[in-house]
Amino acid sequence: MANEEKTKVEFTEEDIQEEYNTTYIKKVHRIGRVTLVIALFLSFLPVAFMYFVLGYRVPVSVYLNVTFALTALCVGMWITEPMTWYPILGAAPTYIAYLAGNVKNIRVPVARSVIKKYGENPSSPRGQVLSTFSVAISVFVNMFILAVIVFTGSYFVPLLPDIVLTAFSYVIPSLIGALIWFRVEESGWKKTLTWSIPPVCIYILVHTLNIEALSDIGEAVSIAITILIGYITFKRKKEA
Amino acid sequence: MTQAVKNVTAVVWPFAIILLGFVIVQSVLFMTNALKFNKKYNLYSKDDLKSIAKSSAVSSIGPSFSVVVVVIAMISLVGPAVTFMRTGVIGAADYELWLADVVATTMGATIGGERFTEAVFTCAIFGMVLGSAPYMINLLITLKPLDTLARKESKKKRSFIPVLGMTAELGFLGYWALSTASGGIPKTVGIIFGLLSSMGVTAAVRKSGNEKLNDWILGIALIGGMVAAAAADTLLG
Repeated sequence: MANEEKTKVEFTEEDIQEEYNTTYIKKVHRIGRVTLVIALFLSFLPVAFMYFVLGYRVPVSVYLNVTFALTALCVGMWITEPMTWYPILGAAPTYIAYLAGNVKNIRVPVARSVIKKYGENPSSPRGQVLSTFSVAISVFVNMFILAVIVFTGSYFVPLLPDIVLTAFSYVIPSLIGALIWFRVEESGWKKTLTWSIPPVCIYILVHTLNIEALSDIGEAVSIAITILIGYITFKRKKEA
Repeated sequence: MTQAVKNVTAVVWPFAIILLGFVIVQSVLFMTNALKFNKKYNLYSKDDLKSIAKSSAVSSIGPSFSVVVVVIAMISLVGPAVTFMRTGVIGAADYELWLADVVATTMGATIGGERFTEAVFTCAIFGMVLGSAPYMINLLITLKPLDTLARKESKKKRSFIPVLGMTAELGFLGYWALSTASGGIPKTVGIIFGLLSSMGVTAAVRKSGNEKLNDWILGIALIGGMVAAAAADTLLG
């Protein structure tokens, strides 16, 4: 207890921010970058093993075709997507989310729900400790549940009543409802509805004009344009 | 499952376990770093951390089940090892299945069909890995400079960062909500009841003062939304 009091007296907000901006964040990027490089290597390892050691081969030209086909389909998402989650999650949770996956259906909701509960600013040191801790916990829990589903799902899922299986397909809509409420609580109905106008307009545009090239990256375009409008509005207010 | 899928599954298991183990290691490293910082500055007490851990674990359970149907479908097509490896690492089950399908179609095969040999399956796994690898490369290049820029901006008296967080979230949430709602009335009902259920929890917390209820907000929202959506689905046939 005495120690706790001493700590509270010893460190100011500036001290915390200073160490966060130097030592802490440096380590975050070091861990993030090193683990991503190793993960990249480990991801391709089984393919390399089967291709070179076991001889499970199709011609290299097929691999090139696949590479071109996927690049054409995914390049928009590859470039835009990771940057869109950073403002919501912060650095460390973004690194975790892009290795463990399920970014918008697990990592974002979990981080948002704890940030909401503690009323923290996600980009502050407290907010970052909170979301890093909670997203890491979500990885452990999700991995455990995934293991249970993979190892036993084929046996128990067919035993479940149809209505339960039907309900599973509505997890995402329900999740969206909760995330909307988290935002309303933080920003209020007026701001939430006002800033929902850009994504609604972009969705309608993409779907009425039926722009094939945009349909895969519609969400990323929506995020980018909403941020841009936010930035222009912010600058104008600042100048005024 | 065809013999080719079984053969590849047997080979992939050890690689899958190493990769999934590594995902856990990364989370442990980040968590340890955050906890060390927390301990030094006493940002959250031990009780707070316990409560955050519980809240995060509870909040993760519901969303984890969102993949159950696709995962089961994926196992029947590409086997448990590849399913586990790809859905536990960056992938979302439906995205991985889509990637594998793009590759199989490029080679004139169908997933799990007769022409889906060991060699074709290996190439399909390559496609799944390739589908997610550029995300990691993107982060390797852009995240540090982006973070540095954002922290510089947040030091200003009037910072753009809170606006950035709000606009980014509503940009994705608005679009995601509309594209999900366009999938039919039950999905729209799911969104509305997910929203109403979480509003209900907040109202109950305010009325009773029982903050612990907040741990369950995501779980209750999911149950409320799922029950209402499944009921709408059944009623509409």
